[in-house]
Amino acid sequence: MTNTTALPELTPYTGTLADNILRIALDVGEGMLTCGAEVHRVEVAIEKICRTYGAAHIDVFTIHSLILAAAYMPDGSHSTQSRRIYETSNNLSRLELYNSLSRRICEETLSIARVDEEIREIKKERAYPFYLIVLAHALAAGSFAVFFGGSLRDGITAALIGVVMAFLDRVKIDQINKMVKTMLISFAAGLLSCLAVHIGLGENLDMIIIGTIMLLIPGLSLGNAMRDLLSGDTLTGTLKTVQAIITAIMMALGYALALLVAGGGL
Amino acid sequence: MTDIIVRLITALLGTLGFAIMFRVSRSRLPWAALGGLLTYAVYELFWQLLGDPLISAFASSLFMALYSEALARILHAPTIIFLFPCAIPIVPGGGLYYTVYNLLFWNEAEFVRNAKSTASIVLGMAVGVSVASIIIGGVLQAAGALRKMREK
Repeated sequence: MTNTTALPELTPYTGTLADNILRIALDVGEGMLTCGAEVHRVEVAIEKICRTYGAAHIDVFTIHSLILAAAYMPDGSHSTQSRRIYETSNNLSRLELYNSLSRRICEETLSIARVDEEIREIKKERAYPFYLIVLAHALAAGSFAVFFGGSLRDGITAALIGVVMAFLDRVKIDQINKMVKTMLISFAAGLLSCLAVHIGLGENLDMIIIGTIMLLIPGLSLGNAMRDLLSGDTLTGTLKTVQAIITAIMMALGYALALLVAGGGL
Repeated sequence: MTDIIVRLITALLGTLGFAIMFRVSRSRLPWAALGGLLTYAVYELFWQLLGDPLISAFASSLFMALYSEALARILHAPTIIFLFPCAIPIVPGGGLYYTVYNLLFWNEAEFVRNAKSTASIVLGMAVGVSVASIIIGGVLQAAGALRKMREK
């Protein structure tokens, strides 16, 4: 699996006008999609940007992992390009920057070089330092352990395991895909939960586990998938639903394996 | 009553945690977290009154979408910045997990029970958000028509 994020660094914008217009529109669209935007929004943004730069006709097809687009200029020249999206994660502050960039492109017709520069800036943007992200994992896991009926001690235990999960999530191993990684993190979290109860730190194994599960479970993406289905993006909705269910199965396998190893029984 | 208060507070804190994980920018964080609390409060209210997951999810999602859309317009931000964090307390994370867990180890009764409630909540949320977007579209169109009439 190759990573395509370095693409715009390869060459300056030296293609035909149609090529350049479509490429910059796809750069913005790709950015939005990888930050968690809905496919419909991405399609609209790409079309609007191309029109702003003078394209006469645009065809865009987007699903959660691919953008296909063609732009036709009034003089008959045209360009067809595609982007494969390997990984999306919710980065809403970056999404906000992409949205405002795409709005400014349409209102002020920024030059392509300027847009390229701004996209590079957005990619450098870090809303929070890593330690705050770790604390957020702890806060979320701890809160939901108590939310689902755990004691304060269960909450603290889940928060500590959340910290470990935040670090594990950061480890990047090229040979391991996202599904296997989810299973491994689930296994580690399950094992740590059993251990914490065993040494007397936590009280209710179920509550600690459900708190840590909330960090990984694709509940939100299942909800979004259903919204895609209802709004007519049938393909994306179906694919995301299947992805969410398989992720959940991998998690269940990871936790079940941990319970089995720790001797807690299924 | 105490457990409801505990759930409301932890919904607020949990939403805050997820909002940071979603990289919601600092100035929007309080609104996102407050939205999570209010959305869950609506869910809890309907749950206590009617005890039906579908209706509770529908009502709370309707509220959540209207809240997010209103804030998005006031603060000039994309709607999903508020929508995603707000959805966290009502999203059926536990339900989805228990559904596949019981599917894997074939506890039929538990699987059916969890699958039903998870599907109801997801469906209720999706319909709630969709209805909200219809309402907002209608209101915007009416406002636009009104403005045109005044200009004439």
